[in-house]
Amino acid sequence: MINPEVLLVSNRFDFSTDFVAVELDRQGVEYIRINRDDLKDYIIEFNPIIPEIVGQYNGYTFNISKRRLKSIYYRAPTFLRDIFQEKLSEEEQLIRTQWAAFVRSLCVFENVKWLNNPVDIYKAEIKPFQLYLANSLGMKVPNTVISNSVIKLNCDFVAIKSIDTAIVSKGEEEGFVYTEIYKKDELEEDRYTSPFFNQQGLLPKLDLRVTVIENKVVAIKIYSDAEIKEDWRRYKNDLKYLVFELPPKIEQLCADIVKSLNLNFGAIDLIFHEDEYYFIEINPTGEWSWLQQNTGYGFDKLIVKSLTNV
Amino acid sequence: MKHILLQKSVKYKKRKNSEEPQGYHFDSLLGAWISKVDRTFLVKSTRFLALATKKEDIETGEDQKGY
Repeated sequence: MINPEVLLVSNRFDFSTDFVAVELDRQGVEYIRINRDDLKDYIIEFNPIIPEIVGQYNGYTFNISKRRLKSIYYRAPTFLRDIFQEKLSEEEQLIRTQWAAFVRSLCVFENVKWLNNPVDIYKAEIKPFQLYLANSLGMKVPNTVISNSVIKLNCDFVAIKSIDTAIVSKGEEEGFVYTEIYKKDELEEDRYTSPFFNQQGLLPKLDLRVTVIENKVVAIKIYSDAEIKEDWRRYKNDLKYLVFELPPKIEQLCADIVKSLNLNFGAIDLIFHEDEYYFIEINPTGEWSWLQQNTGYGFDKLIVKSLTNV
Repeated sequence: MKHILLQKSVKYKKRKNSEEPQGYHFDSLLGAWISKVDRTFLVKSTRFLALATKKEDIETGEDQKGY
């Protein structure tokens, strides 16, 4: 019987969680990983009043109880409502919706440390709110107007980006929407059927990914041999990474942003432009394992330290 | 007129299912992928390339993190 101190809620193909599991195992911490894509094969008895979960899977049993549980590493969607999928069988629709509801119900374990709690993730993922908060805390943010029209901002470059992650499906193809930076003169003041960010384009720029785990702030410079004039994610394998020292004030502001969002973990994108640090966005469930692989920095150890130091 | 967000979107062919790493199986007790041959961890392998942002995780997309 496994009586975990740490619960990992993830997906079989979320390899970042593997790093955390491996480190927990190395440190001899009692943990359990539940993959949402395997849940249909579990046998679960969940008493939300106590709260306690007794379960069986793949030949082993476990008991998740508030007496033992210290923390939850949560790597799952927050507001995804996967309903009315006509191409799925009725049973598959129930598998998706009801197990997702079960995962959300883990919020009854409210007195453990979450990295991060889905209720907080939900609000923290709202990009306009992120900008509002960062600015109110004293961080510089790019001038931004949300509209369904192109707005000619008072700057040389304009970044056009989606308000929320935009992946669109068409037949056998999908399309991913990256941030696009235009010269102001390239844009016509056209109106469209849905809104988007018109944002001050910051060029030339230095891209920084700042990973915050509680009070620990680690900045990594993301660059290439050629100047990056667009979304750095387009460059994929041509990128280089270097641990970067932020000024103490900026480091503290990053920690403040994460704390203000009631998060214990955050992946912040900053841009250094004309001697100023600008907050671009934060991802409460941002990736970090690729940064670990490219810099050697032990993010997995920091995450495990946070999960076990309760 | 095509929406401005779609004008330069990156297109790719939909993958039906996530592909299991060749030569590894998922050990549910350990909570990680391990080699079928020597039980070493996939993420500790020199051949493993961690996905960057979820924008590169084209199987599931940034918010979905799998089904």
